[in-house]
Amino acid sequence: MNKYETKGARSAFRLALRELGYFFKGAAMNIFSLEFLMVLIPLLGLWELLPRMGVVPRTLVPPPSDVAVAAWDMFTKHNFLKDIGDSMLKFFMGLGIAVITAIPIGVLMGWNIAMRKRALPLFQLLAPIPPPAWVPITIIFFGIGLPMQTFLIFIGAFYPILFNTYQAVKDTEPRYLASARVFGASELALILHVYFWHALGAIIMSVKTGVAMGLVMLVIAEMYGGRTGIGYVLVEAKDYFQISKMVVCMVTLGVIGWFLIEALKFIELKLAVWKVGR
Amino acid sequence: MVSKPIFVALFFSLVLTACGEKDTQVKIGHGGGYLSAALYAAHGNFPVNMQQFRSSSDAAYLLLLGQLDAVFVEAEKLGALSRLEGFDRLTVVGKVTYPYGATLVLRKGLNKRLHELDGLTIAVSAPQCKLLTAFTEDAERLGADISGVRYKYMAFDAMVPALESGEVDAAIIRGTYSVVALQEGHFILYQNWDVQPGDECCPAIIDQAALALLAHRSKLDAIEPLLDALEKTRELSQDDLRRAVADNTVIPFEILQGQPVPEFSRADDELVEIFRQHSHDDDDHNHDHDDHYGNVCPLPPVLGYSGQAWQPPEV
Repeated sequence: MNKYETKGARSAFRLALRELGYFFKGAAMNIFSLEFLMVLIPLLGLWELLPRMGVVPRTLVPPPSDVAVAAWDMFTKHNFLKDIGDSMLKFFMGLGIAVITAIPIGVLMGWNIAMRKRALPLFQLLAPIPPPAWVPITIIFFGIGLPMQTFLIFIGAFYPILFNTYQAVKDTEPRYLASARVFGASELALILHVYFWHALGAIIMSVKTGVAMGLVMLVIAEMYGGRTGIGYVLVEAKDYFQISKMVVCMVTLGVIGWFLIEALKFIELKLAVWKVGR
Repeated sequence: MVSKPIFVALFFSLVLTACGEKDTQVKIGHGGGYLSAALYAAHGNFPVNMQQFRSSSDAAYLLLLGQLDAVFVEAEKLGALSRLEGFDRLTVVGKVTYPYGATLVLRKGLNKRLHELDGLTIAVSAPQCKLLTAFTEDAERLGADISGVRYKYMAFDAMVPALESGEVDAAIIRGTYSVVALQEGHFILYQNWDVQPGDECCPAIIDQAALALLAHRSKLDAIEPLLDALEKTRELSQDDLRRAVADNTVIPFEILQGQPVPEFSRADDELVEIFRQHSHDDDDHNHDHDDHYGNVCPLPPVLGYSGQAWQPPEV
């Protein structure tokens, strides 16, 4: 590596660090904004007080302080981080496969009418099937384990991404296309430089919906098979009457979902800035 | 033609009548399956509103909230359940016993004999579990070398799914799970029903209680006839009980043949005490052998699981 390459790598690293800093700052400002804290703090206070005052049974509705103790116990004694890691592995595998299949198919369906006529009816038939209804047949095909869980997360995230991408590509402004054609753009160039970029905001939005659906399916998948993961721990805690631990799992899922949405918002800000704030 | 005010009055009187109508039947929650044999059999002679749940814990929550009158819950959950607020309003009125048994189930498609187990991975609940001891002793007695077997520790609940996923090749399960394993198409290679109650292995082995019937104290009078009906099922033949299960579930009668039959008998809160003494507290959990939440065999007292030497109860 020559000195110019070293310098380039260093500045890229600095840039990445700076962007990461911006991301965390932005995410933190969203959750710790004065407006939101004015809602959050009274809610937490009420949640803490009601069980303590005996208005609701404390064992069935544990206050946040009990939940915090349970969280400490789970992270320090029960290796809950490993469960989070296992869940995230499945989640990103399922979501990743959904993203890399749904976006190209959606773009192709939006771009080409012949392709749309052949593929769209099939997806329109399959999409209304609620993702949890896929569980029994998935178990029959894949057995119980990682492939089955990954498929269920995939099926949860796939359709929102597919249909939003398709719709956004289909709705591309005709004058942009006409302008590009005037300058001699090929169909491939149109897909890569006009359709895709026009649809990007909607695609990122659809991935956000995919994240939410994927998390739903993650919990369902882990309820049905496997012995690790947040969903598994959640159901175990429920079955053994440990509500505080159940709440810890729910809060963890919420935090993961929030973090991923923030990450996607940041990506949207960087790649599709013209869509942000609309 | 009916005038509008009369129509409205009629409509509301109908709605109010429907709302006011009380369901007089005893509402009982259960997890279904083979262990509900007595309930299925009693249901034929006694009107009862049976509500099946995927997990008996869900039914237990509804019992605590007063939406059910009685619930069959896994006996090993009694300890954890008894720590919840409102449990003092409940009482144990019966139990379903089933031989604990040591059963070695082979994954479907794995055609092995007892002396061919070397190199396989077998799921067991704990290193010192009595079921494992019974199996190894019997294997040695029959001349099978199982020194090359790898053991994987997991909760009984997780064993059949682990067989399904191929995570393990075989599992040493307790008797109550053998029907589930057979139903999934797995194959029983070895079964020993002589594992006696009161050994040091698992809390659930005490008294061979598989399920406990919990009821609201305020509903005891209403439940009494149901308890009589449940007790009377002991007079039925084993095949009658198996038939009741086959008629009410998707378990084929043929699978149940050859399996012991679960029995219902009356019980009291002493059962809660027994399970409470031997259920897990998070602080003294042995984390080497648990899953997450105490759904495991504890280690025997010699390994210092609870810090106190445990005395088997008199049976």
